[in-house]
Amino acid sequence: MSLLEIEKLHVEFGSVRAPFTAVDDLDLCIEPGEIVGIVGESGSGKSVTALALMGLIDYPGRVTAGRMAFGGRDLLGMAERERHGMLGKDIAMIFQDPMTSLNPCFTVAYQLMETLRVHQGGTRQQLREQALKLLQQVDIPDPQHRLDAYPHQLSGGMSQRVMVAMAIACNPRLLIADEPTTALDVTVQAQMLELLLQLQRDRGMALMLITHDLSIIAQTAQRVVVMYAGQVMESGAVPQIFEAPRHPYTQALLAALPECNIGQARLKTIPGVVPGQYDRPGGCLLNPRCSYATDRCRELRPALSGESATQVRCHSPLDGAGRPTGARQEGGVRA
Amino acid sequence: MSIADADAVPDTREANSGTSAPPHPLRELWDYFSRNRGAVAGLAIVFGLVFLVLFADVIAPHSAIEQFREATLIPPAWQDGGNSRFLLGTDPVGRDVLSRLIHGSRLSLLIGLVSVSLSLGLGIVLGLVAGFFRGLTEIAIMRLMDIMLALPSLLLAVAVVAILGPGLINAMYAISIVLLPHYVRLTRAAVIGEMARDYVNASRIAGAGTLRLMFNCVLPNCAAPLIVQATLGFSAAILDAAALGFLGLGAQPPTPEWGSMLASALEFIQSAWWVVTFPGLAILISVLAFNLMGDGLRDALDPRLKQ
Repeated sequence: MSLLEIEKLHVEFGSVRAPFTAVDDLDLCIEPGEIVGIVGESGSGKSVTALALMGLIDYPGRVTAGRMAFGGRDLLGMAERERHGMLGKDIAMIFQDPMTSLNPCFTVAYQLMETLRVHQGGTRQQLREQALKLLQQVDIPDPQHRLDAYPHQLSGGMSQRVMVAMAIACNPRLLIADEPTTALDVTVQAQMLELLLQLQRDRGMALMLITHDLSIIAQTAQRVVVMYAGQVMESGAVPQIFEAPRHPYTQALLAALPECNIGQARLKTIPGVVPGQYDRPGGCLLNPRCSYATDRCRELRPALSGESATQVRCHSPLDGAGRPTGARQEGGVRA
Repeated sequence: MSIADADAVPDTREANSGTSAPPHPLRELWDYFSRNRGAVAGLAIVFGLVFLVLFADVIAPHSAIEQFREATLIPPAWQDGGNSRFLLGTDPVGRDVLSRLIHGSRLSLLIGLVSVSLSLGLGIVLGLVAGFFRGLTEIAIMRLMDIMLALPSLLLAVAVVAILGPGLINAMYAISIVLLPHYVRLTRAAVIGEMARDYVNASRIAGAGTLRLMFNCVLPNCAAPLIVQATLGFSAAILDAAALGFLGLGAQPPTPEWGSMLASALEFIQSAWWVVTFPGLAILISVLAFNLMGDGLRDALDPRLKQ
């Protein structure tokens, strides 16, 4: 049985008459102990998916789903109180910006102990010892002193480690990491990923890794979901999707990696931006930016096709050689 | 500028020598605060006022309402015809001005304390609610505050007193209603700013309920501007109370309230300057002291003004 099952997740913002769809019919399954990467440009609905899962979308946002279950228990039908108890304990989350993820008014110890107290209780002394152990587990140097530090006295990497410590405090079964390395510099990024992976291995928890850095996914994840403008474009196992992307968007993302542009004067980019509320195109959402777009792409929105493990949303998915299957030549390569 | 530079030099040296432990937050606050001479002077005056308030009965040479019928309108001691028994002279019915001023400090600080606490408490709650729930609740609260801000503060206070009836207690209510919109707006703005930060989401994920989020998680982070506004509000409250007293809507005679002292001596402004001048000076000095202190606090608490 899957740890997390989401079917037809739909998140809308704005007025009811002219809503902006941030997440559109998203299906997602995460198995216990699995690392799933979610990639896409800014604005493709990655973070909103995570927030919706955590129940953090407030009015005027609207979340609907066909089914949302964690560990076999239905999250939608669950009482608010029960869901709150589950959050933070079984599902934890770390955020993008470590400098704002800790409450500036309280010490590290206070914040760690608060999380522990809410979910398991214990005396002050026990909680403090546990907090210390957690800081040791996330490799914070001199943890004894850091316990009484305020967040502004910590560096970004250190704050992120504290965040991780808070997240794993209650042994979650699923950890959602929303761009955990974006705000860190490159060397700290590598350490952070290493730490997350090590914790994931040691504790056997599932990890949902949201990022726009494909190279991170390549190093870590077993499965990847590529999102664009709120829709799943492609999902599949990690080595395959990198070796033979079936969706033009995945291909373009891969082509834009600096590693693929060594020796060139300019890095490759995908022209244009993710469509916003008022400029969502008809047909395939990607068609204005897709180099293989045909008239059919401009008229008809493709559906996800394929088995649950490897899906692609394209009228003419790419073949092994990176060419669209069954495409007439008129589409051509635009870029 | 030169003063600030000169003060900054030993500080940086201190920071360099002590690389390990950062200073305690309160200690750091005092370091920044004490750089501002005016603020320290204001603080000293405020402390002096508090001292007067606490020991008014001991310090004041006479009772505040005792009338020395044989000694009406006696000028201050250093003037011709002055009497060393009445250091700052006496008023038209023979009450000692100095004693009345000292006892009056009690009322002024009490009015400041009560009306600021009332409006601060209510303002924080309303501001938190508006900032948290947004939507219609926010619109209702904030537009109401806008209406209150659109009326001149004294006029609003007079209107409230007119409804409640004159008196010291009602004047306090009136003043706290006048001060309320500032706190609501300030709290709401700070709350909205803080809500966008990830730690709020992190707390929600950790299982914090709405009340806990409001008061335990977000409110402490909004404290700095509120503390400053409360200090400045203190002086506004004292000033408004004096104005209401002057208009006869605040403290009623024979209460030695500074504003009503001014009002009752108005007709002697030509012949006996001391009866009007000293209460006015008392109001001026205490308001100035609170303003200076508030300014200094703002500089010390606002991270953007730190070097």
